[in-house]
Amino acid sequence: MIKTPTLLKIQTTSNNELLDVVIRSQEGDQEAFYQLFKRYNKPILSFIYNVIGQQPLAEELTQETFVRAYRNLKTLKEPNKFPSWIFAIARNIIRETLKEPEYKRNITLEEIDLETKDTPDKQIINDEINEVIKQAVLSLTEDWRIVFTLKMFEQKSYEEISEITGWSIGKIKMDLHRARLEVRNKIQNYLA
Amino acid sequence: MKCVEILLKLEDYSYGELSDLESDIVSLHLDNCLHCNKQYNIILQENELFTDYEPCLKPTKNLWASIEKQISQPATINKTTRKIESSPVSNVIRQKYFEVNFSILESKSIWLELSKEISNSCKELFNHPVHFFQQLLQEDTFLVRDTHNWQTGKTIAVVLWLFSIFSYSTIVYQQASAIVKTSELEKITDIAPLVYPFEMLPKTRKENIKEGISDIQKSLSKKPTKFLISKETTKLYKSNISNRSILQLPNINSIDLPNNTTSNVSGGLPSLNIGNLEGIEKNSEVEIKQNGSTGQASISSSGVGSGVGSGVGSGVGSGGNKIIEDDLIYSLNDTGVIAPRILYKPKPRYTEEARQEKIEGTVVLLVVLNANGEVTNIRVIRSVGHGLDEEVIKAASQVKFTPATKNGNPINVEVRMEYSLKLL
Repeated sequence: MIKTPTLLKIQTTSNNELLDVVIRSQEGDQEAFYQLFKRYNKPILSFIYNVIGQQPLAEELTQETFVRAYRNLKTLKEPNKFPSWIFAIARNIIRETLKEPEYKRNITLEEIDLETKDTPDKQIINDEINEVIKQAVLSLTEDWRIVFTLKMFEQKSYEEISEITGWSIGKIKMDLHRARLEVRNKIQNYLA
Repeated sequence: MKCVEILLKLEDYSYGELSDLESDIVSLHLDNCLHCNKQYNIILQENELFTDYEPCLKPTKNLWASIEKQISQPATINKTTRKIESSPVSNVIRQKYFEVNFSILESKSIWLELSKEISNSCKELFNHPVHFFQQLLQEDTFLVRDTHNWQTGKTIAVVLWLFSIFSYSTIVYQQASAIVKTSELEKITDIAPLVYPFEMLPKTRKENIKEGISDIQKSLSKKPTKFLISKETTKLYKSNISNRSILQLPNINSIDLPNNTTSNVSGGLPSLNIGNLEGIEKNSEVEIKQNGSTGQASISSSGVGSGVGSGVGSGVGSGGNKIIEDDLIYSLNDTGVIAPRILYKPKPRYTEEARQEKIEGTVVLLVVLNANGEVTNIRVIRSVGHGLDEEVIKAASQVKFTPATKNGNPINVEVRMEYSLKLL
């Protein structure tokens, strides 16, 4: 029998520990908030980057996400839902940004720059695949991009994605399926 | 479970999002189905690629330093901070509200996305309707306000689908009704056979008529002197001679009958109740000539006769000749003819086409009200068109009446009927 796969990352930190850190942050403890930052800055940055596609802007938005989170932390009634909550903030900021006409201008002017350093062949292939995946994801619609990034790159469950986006699980499944089909068409050559 | 259902669940299975029971079912199926297994391996390969994917982020700046700097400053009241100060929950709600109400107008690309969404939904609905509705009914997705694109796409796809079904059924219905209409018309033309010459009649009818005539001729040839026409023969005869213009009727005007037959012919002019016969011009066509209504003329009939109406009349039966009047069509002006009494005259229906075009007018028919109480030989003298003629013919064929009489015997009379068609 084929073993059931589990893509979901194992949470190393217990929920209790997270709860404690969030509560302390809510009380204004900057040190505790730094703990949260250390833990979530990479996922948030990569999530924003995968959706936006521009690193400087992604960093700026990550910064805004954490500032907004810190200032509104007291409104979080269920501290154990902090991960979904901060992703929801990031997602809101992304959507606000995507509507700005400046962003649209930037993305059209952006050039694809593949780093051609002296790296082993495997690394070059990996970079190429990564770039293809990145472009494939960026070609998706906004909703599909968000769902795809959260599920495939951040390995969030449907329930978590629903909490982050406010969308129903039905829509998420549908969007994800369609996004996968789109991406599959573009990365077909790289599949064995 | 069938492969189709399994394939739909493979992605969820690869994410570990299925329940234990479903996982077991899928797992068991994968062990036995090569096709599904192949598909699953593709999904796994993709998952591996995506899991290994790392965005090529360059070393980041010291993010925390700038964040720390910002969060240590008190929030200033400006447009940006006001946005930040509001709770994320209300932010989300507000954003959704604005998205639903205004974003469609603001964003130009929304139309592109929407059209893509619609085309995708349509493709999915037309190709895999079961899957489409499964996904649709799985969650209360229509209640989520944030998904206006998705909702609109789905709604339009469903509307298009329903519209196509409706239009298809309408076409089928119209075709079916057209067939019915033509068959009805055929029936109507049966009533008015004068329209067609004998050559144009169907073979079966021709044969029937010929057979009928030959039967009668045979029976007549057997008993030329004493002959009693039975009711059945008369009926058969009538049924086969619906077209008087094409038939060479045998000369049966003079048949010797037994001498013991007597008749009471009551004549006189009964009071004529025209009733609802709106279409008939009372001064002309329905006018009844009283002359000779007493049956005093040269016709001396025998047999048992019964008169309709009141009046003074007398007839002396003698073993004379009987005139068979079944095949003759009288006019109301003829002497001795007592006009038929209309008992029921339905009004014609207005056709949709005529109603839309507001057609009004008068249809004039020439019909034969035969001795059996049937309306035959319907001919249109004045037409209005737009399907109203057919409706009038239909209505006229349903007219109920007591047949006209002459010398107390029911006879065929030709009358003119007018139908005034006016929109209310």
